[in-house]
Amino acid sequence: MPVSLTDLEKTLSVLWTNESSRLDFLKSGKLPEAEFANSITSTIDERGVRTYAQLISIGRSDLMLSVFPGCARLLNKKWQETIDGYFETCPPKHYRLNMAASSFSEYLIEHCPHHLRKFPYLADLADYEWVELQLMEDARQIKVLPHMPLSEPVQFEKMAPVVNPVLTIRNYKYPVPVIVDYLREGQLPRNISPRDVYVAVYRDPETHLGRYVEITPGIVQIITEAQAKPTVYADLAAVAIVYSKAASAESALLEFFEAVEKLQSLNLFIGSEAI
Amino acid sequence: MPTGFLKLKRDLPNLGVGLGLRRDMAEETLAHRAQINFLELVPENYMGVGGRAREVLNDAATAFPLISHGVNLSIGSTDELNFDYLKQLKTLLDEYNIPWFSDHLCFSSIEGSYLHDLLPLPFSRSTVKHIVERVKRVQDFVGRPFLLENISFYMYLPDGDLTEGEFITEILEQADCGLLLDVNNVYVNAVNHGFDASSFLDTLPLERVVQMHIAGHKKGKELTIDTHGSPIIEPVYELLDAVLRKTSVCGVLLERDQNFPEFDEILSEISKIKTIAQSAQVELVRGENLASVTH
Repeated sequence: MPVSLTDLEKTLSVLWTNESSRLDFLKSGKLPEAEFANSITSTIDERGVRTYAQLISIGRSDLMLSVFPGCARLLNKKWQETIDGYFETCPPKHYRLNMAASSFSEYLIEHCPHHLRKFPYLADLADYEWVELQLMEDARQIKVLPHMPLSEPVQFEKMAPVVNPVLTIRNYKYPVPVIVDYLREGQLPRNISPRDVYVAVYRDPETHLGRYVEITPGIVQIITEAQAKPTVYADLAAVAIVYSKAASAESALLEFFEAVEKLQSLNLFIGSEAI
Repeated sequence: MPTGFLKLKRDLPNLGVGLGLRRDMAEETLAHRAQINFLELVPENYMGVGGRAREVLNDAATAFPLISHGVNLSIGSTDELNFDYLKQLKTLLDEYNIPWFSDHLCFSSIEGSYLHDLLPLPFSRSTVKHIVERVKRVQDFVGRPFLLENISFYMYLPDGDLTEGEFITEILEQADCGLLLDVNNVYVNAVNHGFDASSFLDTLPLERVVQMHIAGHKKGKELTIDTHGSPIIEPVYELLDAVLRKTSVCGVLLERDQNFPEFDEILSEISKIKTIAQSAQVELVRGENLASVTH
C-alpha cells in the first residue's frame, strides 16, 4: 500500500526539522509516523535526510542572523542551538520568509531563561531588532510635508504635526539604544543596568533605514496624541505642560518647542497640516 | 499547429539574458542596463513590502522588463493552495505587468509551516495528478502564463513509479504550462544521482521551455549542492548550448545568490551566456529553415 503524499511530506518534514526524530531515524531507522513507517523505512535515504536537514538549518540560520545580528553576537556559540529550538517550537507560518522571525523575542522569554540570566536585556534587544525590520519593510509610504514655523500664534492654533506613519514606540526594561550602539560599534554591551525606557523606532523617509531614539514619557504622550488624531500644536503643548517637570508653564512651553524641533529634525514629525 | 500553452509561448516577448534582482547587487545591477536585458524578482520579497526594497523594485521596473520567480507557492504540498498568497502575487504581477511567472516543482510547506527550502516530491502518477489539478487552479486564478522549474534534489522519495523526465513531462503536458529549465539543476542532479545530463534533456518536452536558469554550484564531500554561489562551470554552459540548439526560449537568466563576486565577473558570465545564446539560436533557426525546405 503506497504511503499518501500527505503522510510522506509530514514525515519527511519532521525528519528534516526535528533533531531528536532525525537522530532516532538515523540510529534505529525509526520513523515518527508509526502507522505506515515499516513500509517505507528502508527506502528513505539517510544521506538525503541529513542533507536536507542541513540545508534547511542553514537557510533559517542565515535569515535569523540577518534579522538579529545583535542577539547572534551575544549568544555566540549558543546561537545555532537557540534558533534550532526556536524553529522547532515556532515553525514559520508565513510565505514571507522574514516573518519567521516574528516570535523570537517571546520565545526567548518563555523558553530561554538561561540566556536571560546571562543577558537580561536579550528579549528587549530581540524585540527591537525585529521591530526595526518590520518598519523597514512596512508597506506604507512616508510623504514628507513642509514644516510650519510655530512662531505665529495662528499657526500654533490651526496647524497639526504629521507623524511619521512608519513609527512605533516601545517600552523596554533596559536601555536598548545604548545596547545597540555598543553592538554596532563592534563591542559587547558593558555595565547595562535595568532602566525603564521608551524608544521611538521608525523608518527614515530619506534613507529608508530604521532609526531609533530614546524619548521621555512626555514626548511619548505628545506623539501618541498626535498619532491618534490630527491635533493642533496648541493642544499638544497643553499635554506637554501637564507632563512636564519644569518649574513653570513658560519653561514647559519652551521645552515643548524644543521637543517639536527635535521631532522634526529626526523625521518623527514629517511636516504640518492645517486642521 | 500549436495549441494552448505553446500558442501562448509564441506571443511571449523575447527578453534576452537577465539577472536575478538581489539586494546585495542591486545598485550595480541597475547601473548596467546596457549589458543586462531583464531582471527576475522573488515575489515573496515584495508582497506587502514597502521601503527601500520597493523603491529599488520601482527603479528596476523603469529600466528593465521584470519576471517573477517564486519560492513559496508550494505547488506539491498537500496543504490547501494559499489564496492569500496568490492574491498578493497576482497584485504584484499586475502592478509591474510581468509577462510570465514561475515557481518550483517541489513542496516548501506542510501543515501550514514553511520549511525554507525547495523539497523533492515522489515521482509518481498520483503526485502528477495532485500537481496538475493545482497548477490549473493557479493558472486560472492568476491569468498569466505559468512555468514550473525543475529542482535540484538530494534524495529520491519512496513510491516513485516514473522517471524524473516522465514526471516533469506529464505534469507540464497535462496541466498545459511551461518549463523553466535550470541547467545547473540538471547538472547537479546528474552528478549526484549518476545519470547522463544530455540524455536527461532529451526526455523533457523542450518545446515548453520559456525561460532558462544557469548558475554555479559547490562540490561537497558527499554531494554537489546547488548554491548559486560560484562561477558557472563549462559543462553547465554546454548544457545551455545544447538546449538552445534544440528549442527557442524567451529568456536566459543568471542566478547568483551568495558569495557575490566583483560585478565584472557577473557581467562576464552574462556576456558568455549571450554569445552562446546567439550562436545556438542562429543554428536553431538555420536548422528549422532547412527542415521547412526539405519538408
